[in-house]
Amino acid sequence: MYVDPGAGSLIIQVFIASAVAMAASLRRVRLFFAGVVQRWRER
Amino acid sequence: MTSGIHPASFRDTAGFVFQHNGLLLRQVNASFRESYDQFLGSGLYEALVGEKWIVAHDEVDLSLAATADAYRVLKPVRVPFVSYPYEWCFHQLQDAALLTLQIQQRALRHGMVLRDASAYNIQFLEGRPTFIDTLSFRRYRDGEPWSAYRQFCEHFLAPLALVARRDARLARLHRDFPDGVPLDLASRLLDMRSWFRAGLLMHLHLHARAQTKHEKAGVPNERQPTLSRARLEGLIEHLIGTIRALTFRPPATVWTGYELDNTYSRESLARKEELLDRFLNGRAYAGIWDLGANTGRFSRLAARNAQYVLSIDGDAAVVNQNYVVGRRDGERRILPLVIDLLNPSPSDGWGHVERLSLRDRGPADMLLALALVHHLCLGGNVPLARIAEFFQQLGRRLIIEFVPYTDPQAQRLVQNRRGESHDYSAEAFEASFSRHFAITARASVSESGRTLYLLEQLRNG
Repeated sequence: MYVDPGAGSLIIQVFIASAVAMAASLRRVRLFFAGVVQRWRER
Repeated sequence: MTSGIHPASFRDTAGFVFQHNGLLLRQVNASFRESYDQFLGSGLYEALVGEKWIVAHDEVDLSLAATADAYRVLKPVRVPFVSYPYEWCFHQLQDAALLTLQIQQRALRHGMVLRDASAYNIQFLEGRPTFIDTLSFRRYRDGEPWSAYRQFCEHFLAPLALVARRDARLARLHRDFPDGVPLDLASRLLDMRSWFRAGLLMHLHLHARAQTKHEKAGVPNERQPTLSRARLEGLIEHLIGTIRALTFRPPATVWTGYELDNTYSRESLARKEELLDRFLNGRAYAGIWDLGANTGRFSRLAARNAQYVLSIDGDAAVVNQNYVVGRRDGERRILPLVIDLLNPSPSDGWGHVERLSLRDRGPADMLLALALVHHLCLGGNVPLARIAEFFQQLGRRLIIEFVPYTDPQAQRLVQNRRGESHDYSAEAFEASFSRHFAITARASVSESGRTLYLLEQLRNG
């Protein structure tokens, strides 16, 4: 069934998806450096 | 031939559900041909049926079509009892929400997308939520945002957040807002701390503000927002996390501890179970409705004799407990529902026929009303004659327990009444119910005078 997507919903959806993607990237960077630090400590 | 078209199936231009010689069929209109073919051809239908996420269907002869513009006619597996989101407990709605998002994820993998995300697309089949709308899928176009995102948030996220963070009774908002709980309303009703939850902040509070801001202006065609598929998948994953993070912690009610805190002795309880088993008499019933089921103890016993058992109670906390236990045990025949018998689900929607009242979804083969009548009569001020009249509309047979006025549970209800209650005695009970039912059997349950009756509806009742 057709549903009205709503202009505001479309706009905020793109904004939220970008924020979620950015948070995921930051998390990956944080995990990468956490791994580097851990390996350095293990040496 | 259009007379058999289901009264609730008229909004979708892609097709509709209709009856033909007692069969429930779904017509796919020619205008939806491309999407339907892709749904089958992409392997999505097969994948969803394999997971038991969607009702399976057979394609039947096109000559059975209800109108001339038919492309296919389908015969879906029939759902024994249709329930509505405002009758579900928290975990039922949460499971339905997660299923919708999982289906969206799977659809994207097959190059398709859910074009709507209505809670009414879900029914409970064999104890689990199941998607019933075969016509909800269309081709995914690269770069498009999810057009049903708003509907998903209004149908699932808003009511779940309100129940989880404010009060279980707010689930009833679904009945007043069949198109979903407006996000601005949900945002205003939610607590301040919900602003510090990333999921609720974005999908609900900021979403509500964006809706209000852009409501009138709209988005010009040349500036349509775009979203990559990877980001869309990330958004769905984030919604799943937000829904999963919502938890239901209802305050203790009179009913949550009722099974432990009632006045039954262990012997009386065993006797009641034995009598119930005897009255059900090993017969196979299509549907048994257990009214005032609490956490479903007797529904489980009745389920041995029925294709399905509705386990109805007005208390959302005990219904939730009933559902969670059934889900844990893989129970397939019991459907717990939150329905207040003093104010049962009415006929509703366009022309009063889109959603049926509880009565119009019956009658059941058998009703159970165990330790219920004193609550309706002494607690709810409904005269015994009215109770008998209503039960006669709900079911053909009835196993009903009469709790005498002197019983401690009945006394609890009348302790402040100073005699202001309807006529309530075994004689009045038998006289009221005898107008509509024949008393087939009766047996004493306890020393306090509780009696179990087996009643059969009179032919002219």
